Amino acid sequence: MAKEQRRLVIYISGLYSGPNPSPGVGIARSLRAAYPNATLVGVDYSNRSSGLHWVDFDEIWLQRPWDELDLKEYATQIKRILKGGALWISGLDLETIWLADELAEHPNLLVPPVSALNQVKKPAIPACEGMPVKIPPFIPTSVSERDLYTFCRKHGWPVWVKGPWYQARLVRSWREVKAACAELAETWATSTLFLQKHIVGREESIAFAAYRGELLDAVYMEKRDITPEGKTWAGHISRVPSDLLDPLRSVIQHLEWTGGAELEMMRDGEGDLWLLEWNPRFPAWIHGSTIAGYNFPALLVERATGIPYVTSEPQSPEFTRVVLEVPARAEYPLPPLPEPHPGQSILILKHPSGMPTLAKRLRNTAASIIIKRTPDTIELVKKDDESDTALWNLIRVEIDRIDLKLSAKLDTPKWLFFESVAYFLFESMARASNQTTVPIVKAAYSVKTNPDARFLDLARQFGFLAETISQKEIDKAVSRGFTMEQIVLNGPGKWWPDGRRRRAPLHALFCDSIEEFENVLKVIQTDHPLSQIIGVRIRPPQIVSRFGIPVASFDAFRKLVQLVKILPSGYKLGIHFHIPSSEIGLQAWWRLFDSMLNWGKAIEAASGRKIQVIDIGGGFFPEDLQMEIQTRISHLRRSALRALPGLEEIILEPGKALTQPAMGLATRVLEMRRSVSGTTEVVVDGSIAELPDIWHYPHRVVWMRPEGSWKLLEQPGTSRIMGRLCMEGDILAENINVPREIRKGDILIFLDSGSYDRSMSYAFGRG
Amino acid sequence: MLSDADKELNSAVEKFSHFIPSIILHHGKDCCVMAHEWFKALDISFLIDGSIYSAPSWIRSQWKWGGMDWPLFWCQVPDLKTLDCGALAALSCEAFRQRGLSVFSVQLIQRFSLHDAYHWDRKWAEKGLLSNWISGSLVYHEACAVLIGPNQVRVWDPTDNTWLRPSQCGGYATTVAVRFVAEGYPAKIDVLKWEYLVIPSNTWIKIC
Ligand SMILES: [Zn+2]
Repeated sequence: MAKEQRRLVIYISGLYSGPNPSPGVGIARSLRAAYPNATLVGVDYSNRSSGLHWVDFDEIWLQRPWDELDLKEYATQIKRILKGGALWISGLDLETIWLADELAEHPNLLVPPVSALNQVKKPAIPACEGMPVKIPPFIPTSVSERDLYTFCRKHGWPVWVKGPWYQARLVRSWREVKAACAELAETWATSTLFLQKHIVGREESIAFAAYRGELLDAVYMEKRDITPEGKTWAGHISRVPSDLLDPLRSVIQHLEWTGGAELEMMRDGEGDLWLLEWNPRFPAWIHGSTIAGYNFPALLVERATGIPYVTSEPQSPEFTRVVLEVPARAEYPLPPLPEPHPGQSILILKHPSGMPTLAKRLRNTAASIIIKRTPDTIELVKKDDESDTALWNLIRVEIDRIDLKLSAKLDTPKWLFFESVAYFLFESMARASNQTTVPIVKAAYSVKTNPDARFLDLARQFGFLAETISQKEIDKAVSRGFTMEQIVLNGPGKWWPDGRRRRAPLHALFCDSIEEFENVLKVIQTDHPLSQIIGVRIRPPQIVSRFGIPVASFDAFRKLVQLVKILPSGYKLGIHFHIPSSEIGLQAWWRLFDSMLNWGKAIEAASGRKIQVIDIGGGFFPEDLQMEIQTRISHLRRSALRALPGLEEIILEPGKALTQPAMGLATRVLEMRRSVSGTTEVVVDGSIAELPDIWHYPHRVVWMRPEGSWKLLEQPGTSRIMGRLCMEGDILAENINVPREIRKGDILIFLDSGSYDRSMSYAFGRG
Repeated sequence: MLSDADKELNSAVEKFSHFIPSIILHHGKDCCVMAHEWFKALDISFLIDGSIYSAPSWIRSQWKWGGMDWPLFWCQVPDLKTLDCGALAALSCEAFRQRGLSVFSVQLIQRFSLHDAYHWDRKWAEKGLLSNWISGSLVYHEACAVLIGPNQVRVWDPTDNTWLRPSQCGGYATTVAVRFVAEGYPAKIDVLKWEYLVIPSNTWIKIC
């Protein structure tokens, strides 16, 4: 047997052993235990790869980095090695793909066939069909920005931006989505990137070895310690439960899998398993499995060669990593640290595996089929969204109406008001909230989202309340015909600037703090009724907010209950919460709604006083208001009434949804800058001073062609639009597709800017 | 022939057999109503990802672990900085229960070291508290089991903020015996499945 073993030569690639390790060292340790006399050859692509120095390697075959290698020649050399009888176990995802593609199914190459690799590609991982695992919802980044943003709102922040084989960024805002997409596009074709829902849960993995579709064995690993990057540092090994193992066995057979693999999964609170990755190689912790008595590299080699391996007793079902200093090989002296690149304040070393470089090179090879292909199954964002189509049709008509002769003289930057769009938004909200039975639903217009008289007039016309946050906003609402009976007063500085409280009573008043509530109670008991509805804003414990009463503190809750008890019986008691759904996601918003009802219940139970009014602020994205809220108002009423049986009125304040699509900013092109690389920079006379909300969500951009037609600029692209200000941050669009025909003097209209862009715009750079 | 460890465990089981799971008392007045309502609303606010099965891990960020005086009333809970494992378990059970789930108190015996026991004994003595929960290197502990399927439970340990698993057997900080207290539930449950273990309720079972 020793003689047979001596003949055995095994090449193992992917030797880096650091915080984000490759499996080479683990594979070598396991094979050394099983085949003491075999020749183990370590392969890597950087002399910074720490595993080069691991004692179990008899030889090192160091390659130049991927961008320097002649891939054709390298493939020929590997073929020669395989022909000579050596085995090859790859520890690098992309090397596996490249080898599978380049060397087809050489019997000594222990990697899966290309067809199998295509089936385990993220995000869809079609191979897992039939297994009791779910795939988290995802969407390719090649869809429109609005669809991407809809995905983010639907599933809530954070979401993942991922590359097809590795690299993932957890992002928490639209701006971060854009930045992560741009970063990952450096490595991967943009068409392969995708966004994926973040699953909260415990990380669990399956590792297995298979040979030509035969599952040799598999283990289950639960992480016991992780690195800051989420990589395994310690784990517990057990048998794979049969409900997973049986379907896995048939999947592997179907895929005709050869080699190692790892399925990375997340078990959520309900106990469901979500499959996140199917890595086409052994995991870096594979020696942990050997320690537990399951030596998969050895099983694989034995099955491929027929040479029996030396079994060893299981040592422990659990393993952990420790940091070890080992002598460096004299023939591979450690290179000194490089100097930081200009502009880098600290030295950041690239991962020695060089995978991004290989990914870039493979873009132009046959292996690119696996790397380039767009995700197969797409969780499509609702396309049949009638209201969105209706809204978009109205916007198109409004743009069509823009007189080009006039546009030549248009005094840009200029705000355009889309009257029919505004009418549609207010009318549909009024229709949806038209409830005659208790609790009645009253729509409210938040004056601060856009105090433009045209919006206020529509709000009044459709019977909305005016939601105000200052005395000046009350003045404005009154000037447009609202009575005090139609005004809701909110916010932390609502009495500013002059604290006039001698007016007729308001419709509703919501206190932002315990202190304010105390004051208001004093005023109404001694002086003036202020409002028929007196309420408080609740600060949700699960969200960071500066507003409202922080009920997470028992002291605040107790004081609140004590004050509620002394509210005179002639007043109606209300609670108010306001969290933009676009910032926390729609699912989270509905959960927040439920939890707010629970706080209402708690206040009722503790004070003995019924809650009669709730005021819900949404900050909804227009489509969410149309699709999620207006269509679910009866659900909303039912849940509210179930929790709070004394409820008489729901004030629904949708915020920016009522105005955002109803205005656009027309800007004029001042200069076109074209580079040889094909990117274009457009300078326009608009700026972040007019569009301060530009980075919070996607804005559609329309180009008015000189002959009068117009075109929506497509995304993603390679160009950007910059504002007129001499400020670094004045960038209005990035990764946008700017047609070559755009000329100086053309008009670009930034749509979707009718809410906080308009109302928070400021004068800057105008002398 | 019983090993020393077996003898120690037998004596601990005997010592703790009359222990009943901790409960939080209610004055039946506004003081306790207010605290209880606050607790329930707070738990719903912190449901991770909206799942009623998610662990109420917020409890452990709200209260430190340590010795405390018993009995405990609801109105005392919010103002206390420190709760022992019994109080933490009682709160966790209450959190799961008010979400509509069936829960069982879990009593455990866990193995630490004599050295640890000595330190805990001193810490408890400093506060004038009895450390009758220590028996040599074994300690009495409480957790909360949640019914997740027919007779199937998961066990939440709010003190360590982790789901307890029966798979680790022997060694430091492991569970060596357990009793699921399933009295007073609408449906009579005689046996509970905790992963691969089938455990009769209301009986101390050595699992190691
Ligand atoms: Zn009390």
